[in-house]
Amino acid sequence: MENIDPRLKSAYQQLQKSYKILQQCQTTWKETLKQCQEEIDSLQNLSEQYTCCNEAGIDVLLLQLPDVREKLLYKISLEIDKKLSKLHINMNTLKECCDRISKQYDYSSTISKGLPLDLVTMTTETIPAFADMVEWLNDIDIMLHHQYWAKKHLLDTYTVQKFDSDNFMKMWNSGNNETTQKVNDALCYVKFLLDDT
Amino acid sequence: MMHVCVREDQSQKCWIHPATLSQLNGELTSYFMISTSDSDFICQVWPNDQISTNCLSFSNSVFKNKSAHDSCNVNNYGDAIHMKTTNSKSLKLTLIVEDHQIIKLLKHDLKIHPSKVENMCKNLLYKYCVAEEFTVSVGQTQLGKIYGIYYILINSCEDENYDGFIINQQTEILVDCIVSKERFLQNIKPPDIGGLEKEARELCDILSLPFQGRSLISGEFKKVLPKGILLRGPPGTGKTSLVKHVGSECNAYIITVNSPEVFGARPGETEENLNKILDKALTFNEEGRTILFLDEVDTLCPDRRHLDGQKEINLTKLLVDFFDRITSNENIMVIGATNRPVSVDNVLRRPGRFDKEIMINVPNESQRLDILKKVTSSLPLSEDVDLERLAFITNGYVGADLVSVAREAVLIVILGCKKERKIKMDHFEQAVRKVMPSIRKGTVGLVELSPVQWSQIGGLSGVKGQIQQAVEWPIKHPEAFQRMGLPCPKGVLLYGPPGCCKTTLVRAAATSVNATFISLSGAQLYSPYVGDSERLINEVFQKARAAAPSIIFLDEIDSIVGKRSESSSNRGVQERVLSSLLNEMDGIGIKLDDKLHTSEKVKEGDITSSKSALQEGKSYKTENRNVLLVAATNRPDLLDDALVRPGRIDRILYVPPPDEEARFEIFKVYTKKMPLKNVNLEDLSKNTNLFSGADLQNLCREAALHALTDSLESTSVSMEHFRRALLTVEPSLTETMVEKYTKMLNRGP
Repeated sequence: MENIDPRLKSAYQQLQKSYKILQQCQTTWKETLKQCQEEIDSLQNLSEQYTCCNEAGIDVLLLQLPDVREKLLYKISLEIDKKLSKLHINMNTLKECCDRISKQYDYSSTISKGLPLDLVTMTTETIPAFADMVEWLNDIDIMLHHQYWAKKHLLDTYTVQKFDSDNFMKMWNSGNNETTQKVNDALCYVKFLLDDT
Repeated sequence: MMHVCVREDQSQKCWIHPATLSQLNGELTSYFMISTSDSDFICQVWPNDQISTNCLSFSNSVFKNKSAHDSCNVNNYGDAIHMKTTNSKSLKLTLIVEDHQIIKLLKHDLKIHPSKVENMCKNLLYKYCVAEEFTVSVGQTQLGKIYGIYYILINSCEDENYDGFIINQQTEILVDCIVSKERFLQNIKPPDIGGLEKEARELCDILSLPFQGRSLISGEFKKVLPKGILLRGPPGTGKTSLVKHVGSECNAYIITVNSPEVFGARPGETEENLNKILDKALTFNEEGRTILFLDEVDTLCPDRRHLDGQKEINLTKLLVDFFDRITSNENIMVIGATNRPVSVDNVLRRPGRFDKEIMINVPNESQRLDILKKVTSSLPLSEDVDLERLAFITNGYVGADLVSVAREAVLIVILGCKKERKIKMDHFEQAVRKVMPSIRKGTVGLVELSPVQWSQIGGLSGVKGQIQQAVEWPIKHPEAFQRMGLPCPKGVLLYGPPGCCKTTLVRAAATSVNATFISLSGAQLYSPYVGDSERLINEVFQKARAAAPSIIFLDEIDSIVGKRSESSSNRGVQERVLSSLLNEMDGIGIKLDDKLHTSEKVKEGDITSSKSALQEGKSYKTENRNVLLVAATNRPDLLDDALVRPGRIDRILYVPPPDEEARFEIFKVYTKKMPLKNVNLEDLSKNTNLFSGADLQNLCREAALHALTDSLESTSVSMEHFRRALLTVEPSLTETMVEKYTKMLNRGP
């Protein structure tokens, strides 16, 4: 980085910072999703229990314990609420990641405003063009944003009565791989920039 | 101008070569408006040196004016303009969503907690740059799929100083309305209609009445509004296009019921299919105005009296039931279209079902002009194209025929000279000759009229004038007749000795007025089946009325309908034909279904002018929907008195054998192409007393043959040949015959 234009240098430093934050966010994002997956598995399980309990013919039992169904359903609902609130806490972590990346993109694009185009598009053997790196950041920002809101919408509209487990999982996981891939790719490209101190 | 390459993705990115970008004064992450020939796009530019310098590769996620049905032209040219952008403060949107459940949900949310819907829009539009009247396609994004939102239309941005607006979390969002995807896609491209403005307005009024002045039209009145409308008229007159046009005009969703789609092979399948469609109509009507369009309703609900199958009866029952269900529903309307209203079950043709019937007839001249203007608006016309003349010569052509004429003209240009890029009047005239109007197809007695000009008929100037007065004037100058309060003549009889060109005179008249010409002879009319001849007369008149103005020509009428005998009580087929002919001439044979409107009664022979056109102060021509019967005979004494009375055959013209002057003229016509040598035509005309026109033609032919007999190499016909021919050719008329006709003329036939 010694022999580059000083104007570009500060920009690179900003990007370095941004991508480091992206690195951190990526680990947080992954971990959070992992936790979410556990919660969702049990949510799925509980929803199934709820439906079964609601529909099952437990006549014999009902004669001896008349309010057993209501009690059971109530217990399951409580459990579901617990899982949901845990999921919402996880969601907040995801939101934080989103906001951080979004801010980083804003900073980077502001810095780029003053730079001449030939500098912005200049590539070296180790460092991709500045423009490309900003573009990736933008892509990732939008992708994460969509991911977060899609998951949030799924949780917000969750009702135990209308729960369709297959569809829910499909929706929940859609786009996950693409996002991870994109982030990984971007981080690979900027590896040298990050290592450069 | 640059090559543009459109990508189908959601990123709103435009890849551009850095050099090009600096030429355009753009910088990193700035927004550009890219305009191609038919649409505009907004994109964020990203420099990319993989792209060639004069090329743009961009996503079509934010667009304007792009018709959703057309796939993007890849090898197109476009321009890019730098946009001044800012963060958007407030936006007004229309949402296009996938299906009805989502509409219901969103509408509910919009009422209870609008911030939720706002948030959804904000998330969908996150970091998009938009401008007024642009559409953002979000259907393919993950979020769009989960929300069920397909497009977002930007109605207004409330800031004039900037070109583009970037949406962020602070943007205030207001959702104006929510429309389903199907409805939105259908109304993008309304078909053009010409000449049916009055009908279109009427339909629009009925459709939109319940939505104007809600206080004025309260509950009770709404029930009075028509629920069903039956459009009837000959095929190709634009019934289907009219409905489509009205649909897009009133923003109504059209559900079309096509008979082949409905009919199924299994028992009960047909009913099931129809029920599905009716249910769909009911769901759509919860969202907004809906038209259930029954195309060719006569096949769906045929008259039960002529049927023994159960299938169609069930369909009729279903439809009747549907009509009864929607009486209090103001959003839905049923429109049926048919060209055979007689065969639609009567159950449907009563108030409460099809309340109103609108006749869409074959277009008249001004309507044809209107249609032609619309049809040719997108064609490269040369300056000599006179659409008014084209409208005049296309009598009897319906809208579909006119489209076909235009297509044929284009084809002639393409197949012809390759350098020509413009359509000339000549091409249109050729096309008109090629395309036969659909209404004339399948009519008995319609003949290809070999055109005869007045100048091709020698002499007879007096008779020519009279025929022009009787045949040409009512059709060419109806306004003059109207001014004088004259009814148009309904029938003209030409009589006179045989061979004196009665038929040719009628042909010349028909040529000059461009009317539909129907010729009937006894051979065509009489059939071995009882009742067939009468039906044929009826049919011919019906078609003639549809293709009016028209001339029905009965040659040798004495052989078709003779005098009713007083002695015999035995009624033969001739008399039945006579009676149906008399009825048709009086206008009794007009079926109720063929009448235009109940208020505008069109009597045979009356000249009607379009009332609405007069009110609008437009200089529309007075139209003549007249059917003129022209008969020719050489035995006028054999005709029935009822036929030749005024009111039926008003004008009786005597076509006399040619006098000396006329014969001279006739000779001139026949010898026009003959090489003559020292022939004195005046002498010849003196010597050919009692020769009819046909005899004179024969004489000329004989003379020419004599010349050829002399020597096959002879190059001219001389007086000698004519003299020799005169020896052999005898006149076909006799003194007594001429005297008889003259007597008849004096006391009336």
